[in-house]
Amino acid sequence: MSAEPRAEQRPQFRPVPKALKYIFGLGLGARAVLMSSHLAGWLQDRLELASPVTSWTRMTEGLSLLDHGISPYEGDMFHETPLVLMLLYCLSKIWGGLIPIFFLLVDLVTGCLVHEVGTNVCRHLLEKQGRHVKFYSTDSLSLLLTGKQLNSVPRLMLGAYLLNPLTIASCAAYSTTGLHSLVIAGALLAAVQGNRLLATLATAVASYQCVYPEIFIIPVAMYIAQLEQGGRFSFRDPDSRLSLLQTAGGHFAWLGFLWALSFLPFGSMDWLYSTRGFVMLAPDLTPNMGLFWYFFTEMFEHFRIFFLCVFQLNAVFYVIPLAVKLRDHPMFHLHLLVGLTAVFKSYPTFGDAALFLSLLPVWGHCFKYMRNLFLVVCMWLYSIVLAPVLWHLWIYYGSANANFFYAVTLAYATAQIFLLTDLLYAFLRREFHLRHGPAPKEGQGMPILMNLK
Amino acid sequence: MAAHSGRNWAGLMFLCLLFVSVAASSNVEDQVGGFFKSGHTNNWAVLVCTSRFWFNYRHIANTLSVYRSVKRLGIPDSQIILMLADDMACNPRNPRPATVFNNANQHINVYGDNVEVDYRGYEVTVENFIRVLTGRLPPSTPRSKRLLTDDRSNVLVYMTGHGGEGFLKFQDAEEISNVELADAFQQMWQKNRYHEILFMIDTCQAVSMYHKFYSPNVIGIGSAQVGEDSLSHHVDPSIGVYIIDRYTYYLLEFLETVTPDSKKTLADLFRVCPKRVCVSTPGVRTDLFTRDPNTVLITDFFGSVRNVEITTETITLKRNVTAQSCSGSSCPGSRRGKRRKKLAYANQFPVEAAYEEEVTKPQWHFPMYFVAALSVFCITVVSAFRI
Repeated sequence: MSAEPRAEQRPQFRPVPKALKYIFGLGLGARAVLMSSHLAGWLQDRLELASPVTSWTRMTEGLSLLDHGISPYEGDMFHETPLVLMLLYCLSKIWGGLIPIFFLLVDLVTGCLVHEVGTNVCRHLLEKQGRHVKFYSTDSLSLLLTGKQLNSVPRLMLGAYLLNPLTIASCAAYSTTGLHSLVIAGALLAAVQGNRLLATLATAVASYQCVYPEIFIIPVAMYIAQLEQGGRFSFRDPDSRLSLLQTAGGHFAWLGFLWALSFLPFGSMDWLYSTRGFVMLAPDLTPNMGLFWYFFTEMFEHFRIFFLCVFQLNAVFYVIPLAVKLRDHPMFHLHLLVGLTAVFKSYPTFGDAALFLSLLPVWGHCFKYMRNLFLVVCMWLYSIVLAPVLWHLWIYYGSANANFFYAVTLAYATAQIFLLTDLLYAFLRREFHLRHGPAPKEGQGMPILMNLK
Repeated sequence: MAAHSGRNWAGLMFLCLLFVSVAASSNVEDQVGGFFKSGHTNNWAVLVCTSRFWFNYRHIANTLSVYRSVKRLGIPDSQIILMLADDMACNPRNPRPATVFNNANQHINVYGDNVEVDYRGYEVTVENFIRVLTGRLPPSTPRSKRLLTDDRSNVLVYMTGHGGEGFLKFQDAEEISNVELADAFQQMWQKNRYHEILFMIDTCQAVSMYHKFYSPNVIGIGSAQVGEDSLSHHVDPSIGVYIIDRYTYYLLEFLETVTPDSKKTLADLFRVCPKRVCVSTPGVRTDLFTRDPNTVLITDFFGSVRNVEITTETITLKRNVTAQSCSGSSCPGSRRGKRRKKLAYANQFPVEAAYEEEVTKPQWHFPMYFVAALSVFCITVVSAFRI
């Protein structure tokens, strides 16, 4: 895998298909239009698009503090990482107009990365199918993936990312969620390509930027170990253990490198408490689309640490049972983790969920086994529409209260959780049907009913 | 002999006239002295009835009795704040509408023909009462609802209703405590809103309401001691409820004998309702009052008596500096002129100084070692790609 020349590295340019051109044009055009309209200012303050970590208002505050020679991490205002701060400082000093161009570029590159993730994952799926087809039942021929089926997937993923109104709004709001999506997409791409050095670098950058991708290391390590073994891997095997350790070590080495790099501008590690510490301790309880704030506003200080541990554990714990169940499908595991972190992180925004939505087309072959799609779509639309409405009603009119807004947040989280569990169920069911045929019957000829336990 | 006696008589007459004229002139000086005895120039009254409902008829009657007396003795409606929590005169249960009597014999209609109620019904709240006293009313409040007193005003504050130890109940919903009342009076003192206050209260355990006073020039009169109940006087069978309280009944009886030129003093007022008629023991608090109550006229508080004497002589007035009326540079012992520093508000937002030096160039630059380390990192990443 690592020796295979990658098409995008060779200095030759493939002609871009017309569909992609349209998608790029439409996506970037919509973003540019929204950025230059009067809505941009309103979007920048929307809590659904800009969390205390990603908000552009705080970024400008940090940049101006830097202008005055004060470290932005001394106060409680600024929670982005130093390297991003440096980058935007450079850009803002060269020319102020570079900032919108920067965010457009970020979304463009993320779209390209998502497209490449699509191509690579589809190829990986076909290869895996080729290897495993001998275990499948003869009746399940209709369920097998074909190249033709997967042809349109990368385009769909690109479209799902660039034309998603959530990402368009997020880009126009100058929210650094776009950057977060960029590094996570980069991590996904590097992971699927299987080069340990690059994969660990990418996951390190992702977990440096947003804390939760630390857990990506587990499926990535398993995938790389699988590649090296040429098939199934088991924990008992010392070679695979060594491979896992090497991946983990590489990840932490790159992370340490990045941390050392961030230490240099201010000569202190204050930024670590402001970025990582902020995300993990969640001190800011202004309403957002997450699940933390409501609980912590009404909690006694005595129990705060306990519940903080519970909530953060909830965000990261699922990697372990999924690693056990999806031992043979680390790519799916990785994509599920993207969705899980988008729901359970301490300060989520719409952009995080939109990245997961754009990963869905690659698992389109599982959709026919999904049962809750209608409910999920309805809940999603309901929560996206009602969140700003009820927030306005609560904060400005005073006729609603926090419960209304939190109910919408809960509906939003439930929609995503239903989507994740349904996708998992559909995937596992498809695997089952692949092995046992599309309509398996038990001994006496009765059809088997499928349940997810 | 007769001529001698005639001359003697004339001389005697002349002497007598001289004596009389001298006496008269000294009388004028005395009367002038009498102008400045009391120190107030206007009178105000705040009369509060805090109970509503038909069975509290007597509280309305109490307040209206005092209102009647105060008006009769000269305080104009513009200087009376009358707060009645309920309307008895026009209550459908009143068998004699538009009248409120203090006596079963319908002796005096205390409602009268030109009553002017300033705060009525649900407007009688603790908040409104304290706002009236301290003057902290919204700008849209009409003049008739404001207590526009100054530092030369004598204020009569009369309150009646249901009370307990340290509190007075307003409208069955809230209470005013004696601490709040004392603080309200202190606010009035600090804002120079009164010269002297006569505080009268006719409730159960009334004296507890003036226990916490700490502002100067306040007299407190309560109808019952702590632990005693202030009782009502009698029932009017045709109305069906008690129509007046004992203390106020005898107070009204006493005030009916007071005329605007009466010389009756506060000492007489303190003797109004002895225990044998009132059953409860009235209480008095004079320790905060600087003048001797024996010398204070009733009309200093209950009436609005203006001393107008027309003389044809020129009288030299001496500056009468008393402890109450010392202000600013006229106070003995204050230095004039030099220490008179003009006071002004400090500049709250000294932004001019901060904006004088604009941030022309940024005060932070990329450290060299950071740039070096970043380039090393980039080279490592690119080489990792190549591998």
